[in-house]
Order: sequence, then structure tokens, then C-alpha cells
Amino acid sequence: MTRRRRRILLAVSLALAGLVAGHAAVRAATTFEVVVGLGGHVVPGRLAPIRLTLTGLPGDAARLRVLQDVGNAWRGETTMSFEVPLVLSDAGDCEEVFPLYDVALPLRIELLSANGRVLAQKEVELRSKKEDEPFPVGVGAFPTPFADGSVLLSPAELPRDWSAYAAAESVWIGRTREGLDADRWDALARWVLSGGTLVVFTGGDFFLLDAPRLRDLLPIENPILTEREDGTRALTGDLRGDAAVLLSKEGVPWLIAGRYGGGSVLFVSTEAFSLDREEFAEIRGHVPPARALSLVEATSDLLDRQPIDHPDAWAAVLLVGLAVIALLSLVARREWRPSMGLALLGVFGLLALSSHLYTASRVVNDLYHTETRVSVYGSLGISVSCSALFSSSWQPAEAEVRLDSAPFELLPRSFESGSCDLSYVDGTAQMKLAPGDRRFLTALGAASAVLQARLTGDAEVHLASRLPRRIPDALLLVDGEAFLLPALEPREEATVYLGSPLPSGRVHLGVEGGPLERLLAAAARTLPLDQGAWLIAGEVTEMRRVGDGARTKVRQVSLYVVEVGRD
Amino acid sequence: MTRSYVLIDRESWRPFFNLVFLCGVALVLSIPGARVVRDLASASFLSRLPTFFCAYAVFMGLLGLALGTTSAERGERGARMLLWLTLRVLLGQLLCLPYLVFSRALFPGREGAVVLIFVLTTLVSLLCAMLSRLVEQPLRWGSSTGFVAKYVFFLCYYAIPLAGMPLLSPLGAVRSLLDGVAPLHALLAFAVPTALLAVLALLAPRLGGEARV
Repeated sequence: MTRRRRRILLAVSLALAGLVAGHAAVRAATTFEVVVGLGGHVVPGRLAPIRLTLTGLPGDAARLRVLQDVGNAWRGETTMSFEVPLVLSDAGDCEEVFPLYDVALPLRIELLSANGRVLAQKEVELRSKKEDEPFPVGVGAFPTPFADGSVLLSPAELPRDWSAYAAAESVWIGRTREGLDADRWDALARWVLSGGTLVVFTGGDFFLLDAPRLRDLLPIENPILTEREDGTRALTGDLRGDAAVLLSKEGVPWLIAGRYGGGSVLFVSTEAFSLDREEFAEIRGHVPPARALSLVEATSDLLDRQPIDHPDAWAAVLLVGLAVIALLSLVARREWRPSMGLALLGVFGLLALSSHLYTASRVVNDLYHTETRVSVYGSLGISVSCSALFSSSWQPAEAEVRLDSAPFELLPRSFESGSCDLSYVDGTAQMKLAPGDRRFLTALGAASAVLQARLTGDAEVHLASRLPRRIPDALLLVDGEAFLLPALEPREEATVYLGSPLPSGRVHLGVEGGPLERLLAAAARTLPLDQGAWLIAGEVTEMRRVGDGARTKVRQVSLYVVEVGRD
Repeated sequence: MTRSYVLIDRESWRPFFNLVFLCGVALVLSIPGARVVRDLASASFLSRLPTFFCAYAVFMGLLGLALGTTSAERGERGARMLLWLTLRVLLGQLLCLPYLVFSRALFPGREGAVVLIFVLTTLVSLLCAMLSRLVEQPLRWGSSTGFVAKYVFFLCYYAIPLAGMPLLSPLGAVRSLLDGVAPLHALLAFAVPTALLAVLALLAPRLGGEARV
């Protein structure tokens, strides 16, 4: 080997070694910090936020995967896998919301490249973070612990996704230096819309907090800061229609409750630092715990009632009868002739053709899927959906379900290991169902208010729909009285005369006793539909999906619940 | 005494009738008796199985046994016998065609498997017919011995492989084909009846002897 060749070889080797070392150094430098839950606290069986702070992020980092092993040897074991694109906020962190099933085993979090290679991973221990029940969450500073078991967060730690508040019993906003940003106010507003409870301390701190969404939430309008004789500052204003003064001091309202969608907003007219421990205890006595809209029971019931497709047994009996009669009449007492063969060919060919024509629209399905969705609209919108699946196939069937977010699966008390595995990738959950299996997935989503309604007089309502399709069934509820409305046309505004209310106690939507009425009954258990004015609209659609090896009949039951404004 | 070759007539229609009637009963039983999903959850054991196709495989085999007996009784022999047995098996298939088309609605997306089952049952039925014709040779065995021998073979062929290699049994093969078995495994399901049939077909020209009727 010549000297020149040796030099070239050495140079190439050094270059390769440098590349490998550089690559390893970059990999070694990729680390991330993880905070799971609200302030590091989680409630098993609820959604929980996961915040990643990444350092040394490699350029090819594209996806985030969270893996959770659930169960044990006695109950059965299953693995839940959730994979989403890695989306970084302006602050450089990443926030996602995933269901949390169990704290016995650590959560595995992986950073992936676009082609699925694991770039970095971390295990997060959950036992020490466990809370048995939802807990009060405080935001900002408070002079004294306002409730037992409360968790304090800084505004920057507040999640930006409303579904992340599932473990909160109530959220208390105290003194914050810079208030909350618009995303966090929207997240809180959506959570209250869905049934959450927000307590806001104002007084002199109001202008630190002030934001358009806060004004939308408060049970008072036109807020004005006033100073009392004792020097404390209080925020006063005009009470909104359904607001109720719960506590007063010297004739001045001090604690006011208002309804916002399915939840409550409690407005304290003074700042948190002006209150003592007893006064906090007094407020606490008026704070209702957050309620979560659950559609599982109603969806299970609707799945049970979902009609199935198959050929009628009587049609099969008729076919057998015709075949037997044809055979007997053509051959039973006859000698063989070639024409007999032709007759058999003709008759049984005709029976086969009839079978084909009859069964074409009566093909059985491998899976039955009932999807319920309740969309609640105020000035913002949320959606709660539940998908129930049943496998009628006699062999394992693959199912795919499109969802708004990482779903929470309702797991049975015991299961065969691996039978409840779930993989969620980019809005689609994939799972395998054994014959006779049932699976339930719930998901939460955010939406803009695409349906709006406003009472423009005693007997008139103005409706505005930005939905792309017609909603056939609609009614208006005003303080518990129901008025039938015409179908809501797509992308149309209309003013409708209300007419006479339906007979007392009757709320008729779609087919009597049908899916819409059942879903409405489920929504009414959480949303206060007997108070105030609500536009209720709904539709039921049925379709068949033929996927990779599974034929699924899908029934979608959608209910729109719109809080109606008044002029 | 040798009679003219016939496909079906007043003396040989009963095996075909049994096939049409019993497969029809299986078809009716395989339809789920449910209107809504709740009923399916408590549906019968039969509706979870490919009842019709299993019955179809069994009754096509039995048809073959009966056709072999009839052929022996009529003293049919040689290549012509082979041709007419095939035609009779195909007639049995024609009589089941309306059911096959109907049952397609119970197994959507598995039309390919239904065609393969059609081919498999044709082979199996022909195999049973040839075997039955062989053991019913009046000069070799007595009638009762032949009867027992062929049904023992039939039971063994259908039942024993289910314990170890289901694909070798027509019942296991039917189920595997509907499950979407790999092509190589599917070939195995066809290999046994094809090989046995080939051996018997080679023997066919030598089959014959005096008819008993």
C-alpha cells in the first residue's frame, strides 16, 4: 500500500469516526423533562396532561409515543399505545393529553423520528402522583390553603387543552402577576362549558386577570372597581339573567354564582388576599364539584338497540322449499332424459340468481359501531363522543375508529391478556375484537360554535347554522318548556316563530323513544337543560364501512346543545 | 346387467334430495335469529360457526358415498364411470348453488374462499364416490363389510385430522379457508383429496365386476 493510499484510508477512517462520535454526542444530549398530571397529580381513570420540556432536540424528532401497561397477572394485562405528532409551543415545550389507567406501572414516553425510530425515551413513575379523587386546583397565589388536598399551579403550568382538567374538582383563580393567556382562558371556559366549576377572585386583582373570555365567563356585566369604607376594593356590576347572589357583605354582593353551559362560575368580588380562612371555608361550602358528561351508558344502550343486517330466515326457508319442490317435481318419478338436466340447470340457476338479488342488500356485518356525540356550544364549543363496538364476527376482527383526541377506553374488571390492547395513531384508534367482544372509547374535543341561537322576543328565535349539512330534528327549551323547530338548513340564518309549547313534560326529538331522545336524556343528567334557554338539535345517520377485512355498520347519533342568548 | 348411464332419475334421486334438504336446514340454522345487537350477544352457538359450509362439506361427502354405491349397483366401470360420477357430483353442486349464493351474504368479502370450498367439496365428494365404488365391489367384500368400511373411512377422514392437523380434514379446511389461510396451507388442504383421487382414478379402469342388481 502506497503512502498516498494510507493517507486517504486514514482520512476516511477519521471522518467516519468523527461522524459516528458526533452522532452519538447528539443522541446523548437529547433529554426531556416530563410533568404528568395537574401539578404532578393524577387521578387514575381520568385524562391527564403530559408536558415535555425538551433539550437537545434532534432535527428528525417528529412524533411522541406514550405507552402504558395496564392490569396484572390476575386481572389480565393490556397495553395502550398513543402516538401523536410532536407539536412544540412557542415556549419550546410540548403538551398533550392522554388517558391514565393505572399507576402501578410506570408510563413510558418515547420521542420518535418520522420513520418511527426511537430517539429518546423515559419512564415516569406514577405511584407518588396518585390522588384517589378529583382535587381543587388553585392558580396563582393565595394567602392560605383554600381547601384540603388542593394543588397550586402557576399560570404557566395550566394546561391549554380543556380535557386536561378532568382530574380537577374545581379551579380557583387567585392573584396572578400577569394573568392568563387567551389559550388558557379558552381551555378553562371550555371546561366550565362541559360541567366544570371555576372560582374567580377579583377585587383589585381583576385588572391583572382581565381578558375578553373572563368577561364572558363572569356572572356580571359592566364590571366596575369600587373601594369600600374598610379600604377593600370590590368589583361590582350588573347581574346577568341567571346569576344568583350567594353571599353578601353589608348589602354588597360578595359571592355570585352564574351558569356557563353545563358548569358554574363563582365570582368573588374581592381579591383572595383580603379573605381569611373562615371566609374561604364559607366560599368552599358553595362550590359544586365539576361534573363530567358521560355517554357510556347511553351509548351502550343504543348499541344494544342497533338494528342488524342479515337475510331473513323465512327467505331461506322459502328457498329450501322451492329447491326441494323443484327437485321432487322434476326427477322423483321420471326417467332420465337430457331435457331433465337442462330443466334442473334452468330452475336452480334461477334460484341462485334470486338468492343473489335478495341477499345483495342484506349482507351481515363483522362489526357494529354506535357513535354518540354531544356538542355543546356557547361562545365556544366542545364535543364529547363515545364509540361502542360489538363484534358479531366468528373470527377476530380489526376495527378502526376516528376520534377527536386520544380516547379513554372503558376496561372490564378482568380481561384476557392482550384482548383490550389499543393503538392510537394520529386520530385513529386501532384494535382487535374477539368474537362477541364489546369495546367502549370516549374522546373529548374542542370546536368552534357552529350553531348559534338568540331569543329575539317572547316568541321568536334567531338561528344561525354554519354546519355543512341539514339537521332534521330541532327544538327549543325555554325554562323547561319545549318548542318544536323546523329542520336547521346548512349555512343558513333564520328567524323562527315559536308557536305553542309541547305538552308539559314532553320533549320530543326525532323518533319517539329513539336514539336522539335517549342521548338527550343522558346529556340532561349533566347539563341543566331545565334552566334557561337551549337549542337542541340532532341527527342520526347510518352507513357501512368496509375496511381491511372487517365490514362495519356504523350508526352515528349526534346531538347539538346550544346555549341560547337573549336580546 | 348393465344399464345406460344416467345423471339422475326416479331410482337415484334420494341422495340428491338428502343433500338439498339437509344443506337447506343447515342454511336456515346458520342465519342469526336476531333483530338488534343485544340479541346477537346471546345468539346461539350455531350462528358463531360456519354451520352451513361445514354441513355442505359433510353432505357432499355423503352424496359421494351414495353415488359410489349406486354406481356399483349399476355396474358402471372404467373411464365412463369416472366421467358420470363427476357429472353427478357437479349436479349435486348445481343443486347447492342457490344456497352457496345465499350464504355469501353471511360471509361477505370471502367470495374467494367460497369458490375454493366449492372446488374442495367437489374433490372430496368425488373421492368418496370413487372409494365407495371401490369398497362396494361385490366380488371383493360383502355388502355390510363394505358399508361399514366406507363410513369408517369417511368418519376418520373428517374427524381424526381435527385433533392434530385440521387442514387435512374437509371440515378443518373449510374453516381455515374462510379464515383466510395462507396459500401454501390452502394447497395442503387440497393435496390429500387430490392425491387419493389420483390413486383411485388410476385404479378406475380396473374397477368393475358383476353388478349386484
